[in-house]
Amino acid sequence: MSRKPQGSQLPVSERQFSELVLAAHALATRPEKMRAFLKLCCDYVGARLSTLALIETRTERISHLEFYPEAPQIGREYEKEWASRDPMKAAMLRAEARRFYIRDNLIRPENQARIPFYAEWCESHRLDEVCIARIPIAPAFHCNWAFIRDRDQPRFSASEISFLELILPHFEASLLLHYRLDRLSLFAEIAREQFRHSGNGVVILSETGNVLFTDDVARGLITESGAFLMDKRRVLLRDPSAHRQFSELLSQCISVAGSNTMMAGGTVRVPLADDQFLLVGVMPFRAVSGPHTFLANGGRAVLTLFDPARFKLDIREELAEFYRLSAAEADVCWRIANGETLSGIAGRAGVTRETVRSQLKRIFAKTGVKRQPDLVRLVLQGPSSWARVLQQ
Amino acid sequence: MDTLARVPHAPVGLGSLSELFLALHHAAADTSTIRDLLERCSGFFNAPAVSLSLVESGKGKWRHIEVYPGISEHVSQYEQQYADTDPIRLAVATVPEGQPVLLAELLATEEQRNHPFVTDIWRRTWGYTDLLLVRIEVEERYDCYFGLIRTEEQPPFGSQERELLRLLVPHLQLAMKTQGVLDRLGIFSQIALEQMLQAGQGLVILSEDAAPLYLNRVAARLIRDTGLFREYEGRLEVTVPDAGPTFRAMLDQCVNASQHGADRIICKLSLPRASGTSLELAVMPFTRPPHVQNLLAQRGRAVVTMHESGRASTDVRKQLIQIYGLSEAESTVCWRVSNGDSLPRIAMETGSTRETVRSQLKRVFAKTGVRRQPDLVRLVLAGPAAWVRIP
Repeated sequence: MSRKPQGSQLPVSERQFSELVLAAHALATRPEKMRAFLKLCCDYVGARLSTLALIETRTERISHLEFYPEAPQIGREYEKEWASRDPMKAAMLRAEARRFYIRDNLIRPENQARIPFYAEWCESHRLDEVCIARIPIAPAFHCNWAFIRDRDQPRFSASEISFLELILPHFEASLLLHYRLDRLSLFAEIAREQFRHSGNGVVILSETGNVLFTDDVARGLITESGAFLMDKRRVLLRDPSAHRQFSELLSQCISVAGSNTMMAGGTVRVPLADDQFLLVGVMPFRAVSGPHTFLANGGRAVLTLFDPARFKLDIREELAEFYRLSAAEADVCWRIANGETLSGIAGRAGVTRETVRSQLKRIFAKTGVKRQPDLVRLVLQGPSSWARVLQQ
Repeated sequence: MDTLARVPHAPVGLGSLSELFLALHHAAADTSTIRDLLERCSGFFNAPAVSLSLVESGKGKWRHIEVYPGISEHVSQYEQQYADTDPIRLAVATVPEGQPVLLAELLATEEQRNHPFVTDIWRRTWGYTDLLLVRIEVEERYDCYFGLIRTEEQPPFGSQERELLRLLVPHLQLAMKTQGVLDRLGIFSQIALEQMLQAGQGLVILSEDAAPLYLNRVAARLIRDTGLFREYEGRLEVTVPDAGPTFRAMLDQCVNASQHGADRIICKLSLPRASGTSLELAVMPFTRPPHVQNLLAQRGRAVVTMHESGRASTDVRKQLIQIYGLSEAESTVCWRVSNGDSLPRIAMETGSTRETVRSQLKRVFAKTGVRRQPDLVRLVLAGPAAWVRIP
């Protein structure tokens, strides 16, 4: 094991401090940099080891999120054998949050010799001094952030502890933002998957009508349907009258999105070859439940591109698992939801219409719905439709 | 300041620098605190006016995000009349990103210095004397400008202030990146929440100990109002006698699977309700796609979705009228069909004959371009009507 500096590298310059604070805040979006950050902190305060652990508040179960240096073996051993016998872990549950404590603050020095945790565990790993803080994240869990020193290193000094407490609020803010982004990204995934699931493409436009975001389905429709003119930054419809209608709706939507009035969006019907058509929904976007960002203040529009004839995402597995359908039944169920007729399904599968009809009857029995339109609803909006979204 | 005193030998200003950084990153996560940040900057840089503004790259309109000491007439005047011709702003667009510049460097030519906006408006009318400014790019789509302004009462900006601002630049860049991420995720998370509301889909994320970490509005209502659930010592439990232990076993199984990255599991639990309908629960391990970095929710989570069978979906009749040009009566037929009502039932409940409803449905088919009831359901539930909001 490499030797770490004996003492700390305090004091630090303003530039060094700024870099450390920046590294802390950057963790919110780049948590994979956690170990590098812990190393940086160890170097500054002169610690051999730093850990970040997550504790479920009610069960007090601890799991390590990160170590510096990488030490999963010690971590597992601690979590399994020693966490329940660590008197400092118990003391930290009652300790004031957002403050660093050292070993002697948590456990009376005269009692320490009698405690097996110190005599056995710390002794065998040559761990000695600790400096630890509790960071509340959510009602159900919090984090413990610890620095550990060797036998032959001095105790943490007041200036080192003060330095860590100067970094602590930055680290806390970063973890909280990370937690929030995590939830937002879960919902963002759900929304994207729902768009895909329902065969809708989505495009987000800025206040000047420039494309800010296009998902895969939309990209596919824009390049393959023949209804659009190719342009990287803007959405242009080939059909002149549809485009005129679209432009009007769009400018209407962007202007209302920037103001406080919330008015309707609308839909443009874009003709395709063979009597088919594509629907382009245009709606203003204003953050109401999501985070408020200043980027969106000038107005936004969200386009949904819907091709009624387009094939949809396959959730046969989910249907089969959720409603205990056979593979053939799941197939029928899914094809009906995609607009196929019973005779069409029979023809494609090479079976009689009667077979398909009896499969459908079993589907009705298993899912509890009684009519085809209800089945469509169940496939599109029922629990199995969310299963794919949540379990990719 | 208090923390500073506790760090012996630390260079002067580490404590207040820390507070400034914290204010900046807080503002990135919560834009309602931007004003506080600008006020703090005003004190820190000894600049009576501070502004944060934004322009969409290319051809966007200049707009102020926040101004200290407050949005004044100057600001709206500037946005409406001067932003497009202001030689300071025109010069700033050519400045490398992230490099603080002083007014003297921006107004290099005699012509720029004597521009009527600079002499008459900026200097004489508004009383400004000096400017220190930096341009920060946001995801290559926007340029953000952070400007510090001085008046006759302060000396011109010097290299010390420039160095301080340089120290702030990487923090500003990170803050802008955060705004970009929040912006993108925010749009989609809002859409997802609305979609769940519309589909009547409850969602709960549970910890390994069955403590609800997150519930959406639908789930919160179902848990509160149906009498099928209770929260006991922070845990979510099902009160239906037989289903309670099953629910617990499903949760354990899913938490376990989520800890060990096992195969996909979907457990189905149907809770009977007094009304004869049921509440369908799906219990799944909470696993995240590998590209989504999530430090705090890695292991030991379960997700429960709740779906009310027989529940009518959100009323989208207004949307149907607007989008497909349906009449009131046609929109009612269309919406009811997508809710699973049969034609005789619709006829009975709207007080019309079956023939009338049938012909209304025919017109709906003609106007929407679909030919069969299942296709209509698909169009209503998944098509634009499901996404376009009409208050």
